[in-house]
Amino acid sequence: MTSICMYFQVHQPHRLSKYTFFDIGSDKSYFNDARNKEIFERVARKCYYPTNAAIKKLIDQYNGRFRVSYSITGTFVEQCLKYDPGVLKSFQELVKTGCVDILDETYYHSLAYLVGQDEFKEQVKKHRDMIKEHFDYEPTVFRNTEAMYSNDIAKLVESLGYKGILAEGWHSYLGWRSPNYAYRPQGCEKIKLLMRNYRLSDDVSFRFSTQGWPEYPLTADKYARWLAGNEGQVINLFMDYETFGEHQWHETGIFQFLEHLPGEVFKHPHLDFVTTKEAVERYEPVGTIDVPYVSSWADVDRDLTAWLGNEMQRNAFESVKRLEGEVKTLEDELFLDMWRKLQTSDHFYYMCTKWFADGDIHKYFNDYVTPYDAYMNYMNILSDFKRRHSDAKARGIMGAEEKPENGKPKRRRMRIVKKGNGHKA
Amino acid sequence: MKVLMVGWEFPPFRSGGLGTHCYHLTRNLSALGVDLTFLMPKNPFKIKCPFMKIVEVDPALMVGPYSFTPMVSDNYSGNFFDDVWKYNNLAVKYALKEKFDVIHCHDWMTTMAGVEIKRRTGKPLVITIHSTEYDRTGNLSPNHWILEREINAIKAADVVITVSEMMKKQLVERFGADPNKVVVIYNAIDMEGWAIGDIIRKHPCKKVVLFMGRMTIQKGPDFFLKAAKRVLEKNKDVLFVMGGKGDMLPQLIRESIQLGISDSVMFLGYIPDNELPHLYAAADVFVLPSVSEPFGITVLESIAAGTPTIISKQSGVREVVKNTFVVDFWDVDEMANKILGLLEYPLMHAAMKKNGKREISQYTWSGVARETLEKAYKRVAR
Repeated sequence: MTSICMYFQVHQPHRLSKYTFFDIGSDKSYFNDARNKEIFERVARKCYYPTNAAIKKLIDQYNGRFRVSYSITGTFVEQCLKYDPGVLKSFQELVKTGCVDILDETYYHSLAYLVGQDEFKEQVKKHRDMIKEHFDYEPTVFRNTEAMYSNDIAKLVESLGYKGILAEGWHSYLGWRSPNYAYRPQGCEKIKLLMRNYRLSDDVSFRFSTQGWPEYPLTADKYARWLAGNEGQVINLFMDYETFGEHQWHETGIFQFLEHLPGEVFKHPHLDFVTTKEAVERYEPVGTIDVPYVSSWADVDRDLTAWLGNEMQRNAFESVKRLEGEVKTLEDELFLDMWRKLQTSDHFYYMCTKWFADGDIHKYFNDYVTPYDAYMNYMNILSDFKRRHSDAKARGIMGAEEKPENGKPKRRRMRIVKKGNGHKA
Repeated sequence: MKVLMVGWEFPPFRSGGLGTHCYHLTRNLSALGVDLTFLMPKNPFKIKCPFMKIVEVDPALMVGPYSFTPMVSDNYSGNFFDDVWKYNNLAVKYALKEKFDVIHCHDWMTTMAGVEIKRRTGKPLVITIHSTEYDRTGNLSPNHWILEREINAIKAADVVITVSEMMKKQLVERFGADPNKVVVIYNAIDMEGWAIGDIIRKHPCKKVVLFMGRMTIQKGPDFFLKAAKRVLEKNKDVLFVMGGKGDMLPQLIRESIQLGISDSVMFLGYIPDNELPHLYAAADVFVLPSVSEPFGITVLESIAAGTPTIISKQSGVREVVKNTFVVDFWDVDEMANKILGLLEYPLMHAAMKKNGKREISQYTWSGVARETLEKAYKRVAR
């Protein structure tokens, strides 16, 4: 038996407002509500609603034999609640079928692991609480932001009690081995590692509508034949959920592909679908994977250079990271939340200069004309954040007259998570 | 391949970018084996050129059967128009005695001759449009007689070379040019000529923001001043340096006084060639606020000298330079914001400087010459 494990990343960042030098010192919001709403509503219409409906239909149609997994960020759920709770409801209904697994990650889809272990644990806990609250679900599998992964990350995630973790199935550490097996992270004893089959995943997420691709058009029966021809325990197809309807438009036939895929897969009796949780429970590791440095699923480099590849990115990240102590001593939920929203990986991605000249995939997800615009805008906001923060501190109050985005003034004390007080999954 | 090029200026006799362009173009064309004869008006410099024959024609000698009747416009001095006319007539007269395969002209000052030479000899005509009358007048009050010359030349030419896609669009939409015969060849930069090494003289205590260009409505110097005012509200330690001369200069000086920023604005007037690299290098930011800029070669010069740039959306150079800030020429708040950003964030300044240099180094004059030979001369030569 070979299983197919489909996992989808569901995320929307809180995009930043245009923040000029002249805005520093004003009370302008850091987050561009109008733009976030516009994008959220567009993606909801093109992707979330139709894809959720299609998945629900497939689960019903095949009596639960079709199964999928999601990682849903906190920033995404916040936008659901704010712009269209119906989207959240449709995810909740999917989870209720029992054929869906939810993974944990950092609430803010952030680079928190690089900020520090405590910050990482706090954001994971926040995500865990959010999933419990909205889905009444307790994840057992973890996926770090952008599939950032290393031996140390695996060890840390194992210590939090997770049974499984996802990573990119990149050849530099897989070597001759196949990604279609469960592995054990180097230095870990219990946690299992599922590795993305990037060729088969990217056939759908990137190449599906590429007319110059020799395999174009990709049909469900052809793809199912490829899957059937793969050896191994579990074929991990990990992709952004927005692949359906947003990256690959409706007109490309991506929904027909999705609708026909399970039926075509079931024509091959040795194939079935599993969730990430089931894959981890069912399959025993066949070997150990050693990833001493932090890898990711981005670009051809599969490293951190999409977020921290140039000096501007590193400087912006270091600048936000440096504020940790200051922000936490203020003990104000709103400041903490703003600070964490500024850690979301997307902000750093926009500053990437790697593919800038060629105008590549980075361009597609990007409101900024140049990486310089992105950096400057971010730094202006950070500079204002520092000002607001020191104003709040100077006033000697534990919280500023900062309005949360729903307009109601709210002043909550943060719960301090003590060092080493990591939760258990 | 023998080419008769009708020029207007050639270093050191020049007032703008056209002379520089012709110098680099002809030098690299002759390196490719093109046999060039370059016509230009008689001038006080004794120009010696090792790679081609330069013929200076003297408008004062103009008499004879080929003379046209000049139409003098209100906007240009009678003398200038006279000189253009006489020069074009003489160029035609000279051309009829020469043997060549292709005629190549630049802008309206020389295209009248080109059109006439083509009419009389039947030889193919290539024209390069560096700017149009709409560009030079900021779209405000184009001289219709000049526009007509431009329309005629574009119509008569076998190939029209222009310096950006933006210009090609203009030529097609506003001049009715056949898009199939318009070829875009971007300007280029001789990187070595702009690297001045370790002798950069920075201002001892102030950051320097530079404008370099003619003080005319086309170049938007007044927007530069308005942005300066906004920058100085946030940061007093900035000096705004304006190089170049032009008819707006008195008005600009007055405006700097009215804005109350005259202490922080410096007008340098004409900058000799040999001082230009030093001026660029001494600046921290270069701004091109042009209302309408067919290309904007000063941007390449500034980047080559290591100074990051802010350029107007209405400039052709944005098609080749991505490592820059792009703003609307009228958006002085945004211009000021970007100036402040480059002054405030040294890492961003350094990144733009480094990436910009790497980016523009692919635009070489030998490339321009090769493209001119392949896409224009060889296409039309019979």
